Amino acid sequence: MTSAAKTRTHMGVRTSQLIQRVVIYILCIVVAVFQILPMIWMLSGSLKKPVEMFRDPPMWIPESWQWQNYVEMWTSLRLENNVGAPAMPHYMLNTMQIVAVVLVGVLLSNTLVGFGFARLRARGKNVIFLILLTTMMLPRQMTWLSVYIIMSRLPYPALPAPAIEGINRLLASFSSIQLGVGNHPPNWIDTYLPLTVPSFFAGAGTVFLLRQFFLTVPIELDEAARIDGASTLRIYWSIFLPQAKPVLASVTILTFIGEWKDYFSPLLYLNTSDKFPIALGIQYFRGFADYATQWHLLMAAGVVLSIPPFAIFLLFQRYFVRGMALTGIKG
Amino acid sequence: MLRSLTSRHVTTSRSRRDRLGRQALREEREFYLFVSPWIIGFLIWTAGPMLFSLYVSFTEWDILTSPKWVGLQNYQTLWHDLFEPSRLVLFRQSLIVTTIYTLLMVPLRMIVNLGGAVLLNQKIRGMPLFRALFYSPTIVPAVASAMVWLWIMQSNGGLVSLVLNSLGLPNQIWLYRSDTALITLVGLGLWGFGSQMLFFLAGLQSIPEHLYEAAKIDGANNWQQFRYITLPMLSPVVFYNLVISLMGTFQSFDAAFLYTGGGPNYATHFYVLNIYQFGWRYFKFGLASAMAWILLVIILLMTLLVVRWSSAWVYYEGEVRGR
Repeated sequence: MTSAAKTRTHMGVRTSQLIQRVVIYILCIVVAVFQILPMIWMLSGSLKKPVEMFRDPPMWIPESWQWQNYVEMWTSLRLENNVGAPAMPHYMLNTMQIVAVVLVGVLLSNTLVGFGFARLRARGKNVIFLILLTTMMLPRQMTWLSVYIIMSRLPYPALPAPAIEGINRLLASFSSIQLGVGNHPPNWIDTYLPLTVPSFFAGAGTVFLLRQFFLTVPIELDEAARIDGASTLRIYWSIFLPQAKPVLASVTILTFIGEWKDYFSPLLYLNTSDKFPIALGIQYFRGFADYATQWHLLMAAGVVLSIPPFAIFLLFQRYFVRGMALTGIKG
Repeated sequence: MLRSLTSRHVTTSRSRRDRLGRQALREEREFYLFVSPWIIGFLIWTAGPMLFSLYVSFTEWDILTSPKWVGLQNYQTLWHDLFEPSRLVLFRQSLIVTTIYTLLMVPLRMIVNLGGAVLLNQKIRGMPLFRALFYSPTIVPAVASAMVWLWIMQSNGGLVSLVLNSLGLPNQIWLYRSDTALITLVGLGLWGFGSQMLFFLAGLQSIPEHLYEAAKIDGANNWQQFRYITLPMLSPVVFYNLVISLMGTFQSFDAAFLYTGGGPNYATHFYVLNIYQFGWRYFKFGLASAMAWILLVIILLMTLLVVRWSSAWVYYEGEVRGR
């Protein structure tokens, strides 16, 4: 012990604690401000006039709030394949479609596989699990190129002509909608299939997370169910899935945010701007060069793009932490 | 009486064994059914493509015509580029750029995230709010935050230039100069904490309080507590974050693609951006596949090195060590 510490009075300890606390607060506030300042700048930019965007000195609060930026951004028309439809709502709808299908795939396949690894005994299980863990380490660039080639070779799953005729006859009896014959894409490129179908085949990280959770479900539960004559599928569906609701919430949230942000797979697979998800679509406000960019609209689009993941994060923060904790990292 | 009992016992146990065997077989069949989505997916989307890309790396292929077997030519092209760098290959350039970026980014990001976690681990009021604020940049889609930073970094009238002007300094053109662009990307990449911070935080919270109490009694100051308790106890998390971060940073793509497009003068031409461009811009799938395989080898080697090195400094509680 240092002599200074020895001679500290009770008051001294309390003031030093107070100083420490104040320093921590100041540090926290400085860091937090640095984290959110760019986002506030985005918000402020989305409400400025175009001429105010580069004004000196920087203006944090716009002179008059240009809410019409959002209207303009939301209603601006698409440049390509212009059918007179507003671009942004269309892109957002595209994203929703992709996310919805991916969520079904992710939840279904990963719970099945996670349950299998956690509860069923079989020869070769450990080897398979080891391979699963190894795939987490593989750089995804390894498979990009060949998966792309595979997608460009897979035939689009179109119904044969007689089946389409049959469906059309059925449809004609109650609606005017008819399916087209033969006007489907030649392969999976420029469709949503490469973005959605792989999610039905489970991913190593999520499988691992769910397995870790399923291992914590007491074995007495499924033993009792088995004595009552329940099948394995029944046990999975009626016991494990309801138990796993909080984890499934974590998986849903993480998947949703991941898919919402993803611009990379769409960039690889989609060519027609009609089909872009919103993360790729907002690039549309970015001109061919920086001076041609409509910065105020770009910022408004950025805000709209950020709101859903942000809201979900704030509402369901605890599921985030749980998802992270369950991946099994121990100090 | 006794005999009849034992004999009955024997028969039941035998039939039970049969039943158990059948049950075990059924369970095994069920296991493979349940796991089949992943096994099939692994074969279609991982194992198959890996082998296929190995084959492609020995061919010249634009995927429109049929592939042409060229043997080791793609690998030779890359090898030559190491000694006589060419704008048409950019292998050496992308390796150098990516290595510098990784060497700067990995330690800096780790220090920043550890600092954030240490702050969030303090017991003060309002911590959930700070945690949400610290983590929020990660939630914002990279596309959106990149647009803001691009606007902030505009040389003429961007926020950074305006601040510099007010200090009497000229406009910055950091993203547009080949000698500063990469460093600027490192700086931009440090904004926002990531999952690393959450892992550090979880690690910090699992360190038993009594260790600190004992150290305090021995008169250890804050720094000594951090150095001799926190860091050793945290070393498994440091190791985990280091491996994940090394692999992830070496495969960086977003920063180059969204901010600089690999420029100026290839100063930010990341390795993976190179693969992307050779594949999707120039349709040289053979050369791109060769680069992808080399990437796998590089990453495996890096991971192996770190794992080896880690035994010198990672401390596992309950681990028995010789000598």
